[in-house]
Amino acid sequence: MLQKNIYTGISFVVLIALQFLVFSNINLFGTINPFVYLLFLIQYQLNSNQAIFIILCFLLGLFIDLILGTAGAHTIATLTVAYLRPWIVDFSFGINSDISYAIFKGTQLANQLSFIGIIIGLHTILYYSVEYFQWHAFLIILKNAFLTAIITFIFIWLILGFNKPKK
Amino acid sequence: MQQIINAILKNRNFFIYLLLLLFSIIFLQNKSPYHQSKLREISLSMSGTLLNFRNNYQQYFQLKEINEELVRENLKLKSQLIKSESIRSSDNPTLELGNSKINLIPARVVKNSIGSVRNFIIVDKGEKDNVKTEMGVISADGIVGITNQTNQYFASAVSLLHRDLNINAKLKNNNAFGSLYWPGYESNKMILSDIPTINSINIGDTIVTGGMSAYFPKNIPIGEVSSFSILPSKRYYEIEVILFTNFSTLDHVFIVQNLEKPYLDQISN
Repeated sequence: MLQKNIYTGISFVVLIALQFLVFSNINLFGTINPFVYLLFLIQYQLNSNQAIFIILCFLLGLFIDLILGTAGAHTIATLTVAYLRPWIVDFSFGINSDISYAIFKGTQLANQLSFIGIIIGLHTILYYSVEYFQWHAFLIILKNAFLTAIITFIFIWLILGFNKPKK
Repeated sequence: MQQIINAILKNRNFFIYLLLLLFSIIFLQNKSPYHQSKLREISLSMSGTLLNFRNNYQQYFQLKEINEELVRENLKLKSQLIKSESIRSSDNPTLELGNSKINLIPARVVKNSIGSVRNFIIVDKGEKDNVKTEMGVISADGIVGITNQTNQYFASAVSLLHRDLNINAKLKNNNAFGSLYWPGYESNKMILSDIPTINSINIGDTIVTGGMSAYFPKNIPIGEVSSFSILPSKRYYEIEVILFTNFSTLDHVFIVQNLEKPYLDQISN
C-alpha cells in the first residue's frame, strides 16, 4: 500500500515536471504540444478510491495550469475526465470484465487503444473548448483537439511501451 | 435530514466533482478577462431569459389589477380632458393642456429602482416613438422623472427619486413657488424648499408642478404637505411632501412631449 502511494506521488511530480520541462516546448505546427501528464489518468489503479482520484486529478490539472500559465482549461478537462473514468473503463473493457488492479495486464489491445483514445480525445476536446469558449471556433477546436490527441497518443503509447511489465 | 446526508454520501464523487468544477470555473474567471466577459455574457443572457419568463408569468396573474389600473387611468385622463377643455380630433392625438401644446406618449416601465440615492427608470418607448432626451415623465398619479437617454426602442429617465434633481413646484392654493428635491431616504417623501414664510401653509395642502420649465405642464399633481418647519433664517419654510405616485409599483407612464419646447429653448438660449 505504501509502495503504491509512493509510486503515485513520484509519478504525479515527474509527470508535471516532464510536461513543463520537455513536452510543453515541442510546439509542433507552431502551437501543438502533447499532454503527456494524461498518463496519470491512464495508469492510476482502478480499485482505488474514486473520490481521492478526482481530487488528485484536480490538483494535477491545477498545477499544470499554474506552471504553464493557462487560465484553468487543464483543470476543468482533467477533472471532468477523472470523474468520467469509471464509465470510460466500462465502455472500453466491458461492464463485467474483472480489472482489479492494472489495465494493461491480460486485456485486449483493441480495448487498451479504445480506453487511451477516449481519455485523450475527451480531454483535448474539453481543453480546447474551454480555452476558446466560442461557438464559431468549433472547427479550430476540432482541428487542434485532433492534432493534439494524435501526438499525445503517440507519445503516451511509446512511454507505455518502454514501461511495459515483464511477462 | 438523514436521507439527505445518505444521498450526499451515496453520490459523494459527483458532489466532489461539482465542488471542484465550481472552484475551477472561479479560477478560470479570475485569471482570464476573456473568460470573465464570456461568463458574464452567459449569466446575463440566462438571467435575462429567466426574468423575462418571470415577468410574463407575473403579468398574466396581475391582469386583473392592471385592468383596474387602466380603468382608473382612463377615468383620470378623461376628467383632465374635460377640465382643461381639451380638443382631441380623431386623427390628431395632441392634447392641449392649459395654454401649452402637449403630446402624451404612453409607455410602460421595464426597469425601475428605488433603492439607490440616484434612481433611474427605463421605459419601453424610444426614438422611434418620438421620445427624446429632456422630456417629462408622468403617471396617472403625478410626476415621475425626466428622460436623459434614448435609443431606438427604449428611454431612460432620471427618477424623481434622484438626489441631484430639482423640480419647480408650487402650492396649489396660493401659487407660492419653490424647489422640490429628494433627500435620498424614503421613496414617498420629498422636500419643498424656498417657499417664503409670508405664505400660509396647512398640512394636507396639495403641491403641483409650477410650469416654469418646459418639462412638465402647469398643475400636474405631485403630492401633499405632511409636515413643515421654518428654517433658522426665518425667511423660508422647509416642507415635507408625501408623493402621490407610488414609485415601488410604477408600471404605466406617459412621456410629455412639449411641442413648444424648441421655441422656448431657442428664446432661453
